[in-house]
Amino acid sequence: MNLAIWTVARRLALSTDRRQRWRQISIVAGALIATCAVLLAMSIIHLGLLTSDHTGARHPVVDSGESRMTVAVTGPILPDLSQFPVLWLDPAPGSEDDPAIIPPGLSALPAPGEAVLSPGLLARGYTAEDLGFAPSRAGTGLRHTIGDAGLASRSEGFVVARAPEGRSLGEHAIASSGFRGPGPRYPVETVLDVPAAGAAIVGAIWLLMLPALMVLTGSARAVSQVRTERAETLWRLGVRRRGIGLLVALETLVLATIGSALGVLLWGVAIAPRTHLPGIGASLLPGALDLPGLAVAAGVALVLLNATLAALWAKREPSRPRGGVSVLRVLPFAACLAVMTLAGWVPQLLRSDAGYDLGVTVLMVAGAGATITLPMAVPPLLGGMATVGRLLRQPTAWLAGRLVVARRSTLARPAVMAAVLVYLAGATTAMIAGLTENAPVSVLPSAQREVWVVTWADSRADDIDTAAERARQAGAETLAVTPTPAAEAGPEPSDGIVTTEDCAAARQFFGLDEQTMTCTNEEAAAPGLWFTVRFGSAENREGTISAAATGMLVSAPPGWTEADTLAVFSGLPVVNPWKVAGTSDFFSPVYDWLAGAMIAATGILAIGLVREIGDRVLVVVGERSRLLRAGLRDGESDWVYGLATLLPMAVALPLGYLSARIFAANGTGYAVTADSVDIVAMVAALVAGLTAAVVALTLWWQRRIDTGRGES
Amino acid sequence: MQPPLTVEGIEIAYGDQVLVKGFGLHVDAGESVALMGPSGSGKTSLLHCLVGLSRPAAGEIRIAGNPMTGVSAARRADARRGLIGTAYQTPDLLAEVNVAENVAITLLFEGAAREDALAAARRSLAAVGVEHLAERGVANLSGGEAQRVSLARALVRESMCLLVADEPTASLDGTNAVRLSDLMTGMVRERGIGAVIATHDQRVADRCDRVVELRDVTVR
Repeated sequence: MNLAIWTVARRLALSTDRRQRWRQISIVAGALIATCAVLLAMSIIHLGLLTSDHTGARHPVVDSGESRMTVAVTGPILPDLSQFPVLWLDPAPGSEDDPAIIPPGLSALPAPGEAVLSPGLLARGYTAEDLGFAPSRAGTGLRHTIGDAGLASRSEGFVVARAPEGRSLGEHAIASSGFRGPGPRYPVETVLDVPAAGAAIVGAIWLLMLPALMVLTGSARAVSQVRTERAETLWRLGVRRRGIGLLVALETLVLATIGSALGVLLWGVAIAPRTHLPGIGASLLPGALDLPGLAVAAGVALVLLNATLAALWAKREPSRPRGGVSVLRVLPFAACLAVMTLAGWVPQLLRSDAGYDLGVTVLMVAGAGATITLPMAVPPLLGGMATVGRLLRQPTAWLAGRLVVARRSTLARPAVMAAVLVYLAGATTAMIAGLTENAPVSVLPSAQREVWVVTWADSRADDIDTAAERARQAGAETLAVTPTPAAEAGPEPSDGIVTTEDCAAARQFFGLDEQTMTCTNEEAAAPGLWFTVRFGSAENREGTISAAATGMLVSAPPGWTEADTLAVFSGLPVVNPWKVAGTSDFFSPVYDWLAGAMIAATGILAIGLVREIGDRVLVVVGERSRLLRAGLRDGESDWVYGLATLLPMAVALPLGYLSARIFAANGTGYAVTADSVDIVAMVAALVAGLTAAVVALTLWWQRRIDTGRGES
Repeated sequence: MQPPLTVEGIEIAYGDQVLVKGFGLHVDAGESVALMGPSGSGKTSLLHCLVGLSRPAAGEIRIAGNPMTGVSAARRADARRGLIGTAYQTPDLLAEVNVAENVAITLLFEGAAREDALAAARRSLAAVGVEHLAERGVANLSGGEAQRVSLARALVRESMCLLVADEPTASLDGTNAVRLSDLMTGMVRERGIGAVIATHDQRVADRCDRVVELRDVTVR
């Protein structure tokens, strides 16, 4: 390397000239943010891989001829935890001490009727007894809870329970050979409070890495009169383009290295050792966010490479206006939108179960692709601005249109940042709305009662009476559930029939009013009226029920939780409560992560937008005098430059909105999004309004400075 | 008839440093005045005050009887556009529009019909001998051509009565500098307007009707 170039680059990078200050701040701050975001993204991917690894390890291997135990899974829901799995185990005679059937996170199998709770349940104040079990000391975690090896996070709900003495897990239990060895695994469905590998990889790259690297790309192109002058001087002195390129690269590298070093420090202190992230409710496993040194180095290298290449690319852009930009640059973005649209049709096209997963993957990859390709698509589309300006026949619009067309690459930058902001804010908002709208659990709303239908396995004759008596003592009412006769079977195979005196009694039991619970035979008032259990509207018929009860409805006053219901059925195997009326306690704990990702992405892009507008202001400060000297007034020149900054938004923001809408519309089929037109439009309008306000504010501020200097 | 320019006792200061003090100048119609002085003597600062881009600390400036001191920035801007034509060392042409549009730009911003504004621009370009450049992009102009276009822009308005030029020949070779000077002073006489031309170039000064040395009136 030429020592002179290195010396000039280093001195230029660290120059005390005030005109270099904006570029220094831009690159150092950009590299700091990008490094933190990239390393955080890698940490989240690490967390996702760890999560998938740990949750995968607790799926029992389906028996392949060597049955050591039977397993069953139930999914109770608690108001402060949402749904969590209870893994029921029943070892085959002689296999009780077989290490293969000990789940990860346990040192031994619990004794019959005992259960090991996750630390997340314990931290929320639940004990084994609260959930209808006897406590076990088989957990390897703190206070005999499930150890880290069996957990996705320390805050998740998870219970490993052993069938009570003398009871089996019923005819629907799965035969298993244990938790080790090859073979298909029986999924222990879990509503995770941390992202699994797939979501972590896509989310971290799309919502953290890409926005941060986009902002860094803009930062590396930050305006500096000093750098331009040095490059021109060297050019006049005969230094080759390659040498000037090296100067630019080294100057950027010096500043980006400072920012990256600060970023690594910040990540190392504030992120890597943490088990809690701001705004995220989950308590992570220790070391979940930490990364090996090589991974950190790779992240930093990515940031420095991005900054350097962006600076070199910006150097290639001519300082003078240039002609057309190829329309072909729109094609990648158009292709991403087309693929997003097609993603909604993948399951129909493939006609297989794999189509669902593939469709979601295609949608997410195309969604991330649109983020990358949108910036390329805006400049070619700005060609129409000259026509718009000419048609308006208004000199401000005319000149602004000409400025936009002539400098479309540079003038598009704030607009591109705003468009990506609209897109990502809209897409993530649609995903967050999807979490609420696509909740897999529906409960008839009732303010008066909390009602569950409860089933269990290996039912005995006195189970109903015992449970009913316990419920009565605890202040709840019960109704026995019998299977629906074959001739009357509803759409759900688990539908059952309960008997009440009349419609009024049924409504009182369920806490529902006449509008919510209709009866087909309202006037009938004889014993033996039938009501299907999982109903949208009830149907009452006269008759007698001869079949034995297989389940029970529990109606409790408000304030009861599913834990109280579980306690009523203590001592029974595979107790599975399912709330049918009351208040829904289901929520998606990954809401925090998605909301956090949205805040991070929009925050990073908002910083980028402000920085790009800052660049524009600096350019305008330099260029404004051209218009004033040409005879324009202050106000006119402000309008021209304000409009030249805002006109590209008229092209870019609709593109961002369109992308968000397409993503939202095609994600609904996969329950990934809710197609919320109003919310996405509101986000777009908000970003547009804020951008216009920032542009107006900066121009006004600049005018004040000029006035203060007596220049106008 | 009011003289194109009257300056009485103006003072220009930056903080505690007084750059120009007690400066006076009277420019008659058809008269070109060369403003000379060493670098840092305040020539450019004085010109900025004449055109209303800056305010003097004291004194009075009148353009065709219209005050440029003690009035609002908007009033100064109106006078700058309506009564003054400016030309600078760098032509400051807008690269985004063509030559004719550059010359017509203030007329367009005043609401003149596009066709009328461009016709006036062509007449002004013809007056400085570069009408053939009207449809060209400014990136393709030579230094001399760009300065002529800049002069055409300064002279495009019929109502203008004062030409203010700051080192207009500084970036030109000797031949082109002389040609542009002749053109400026000739146009001033022909149109019956006044001109103040700040210059270091004695050949430019020689072509003016009068030379004012700024150091004579400067207190440092």
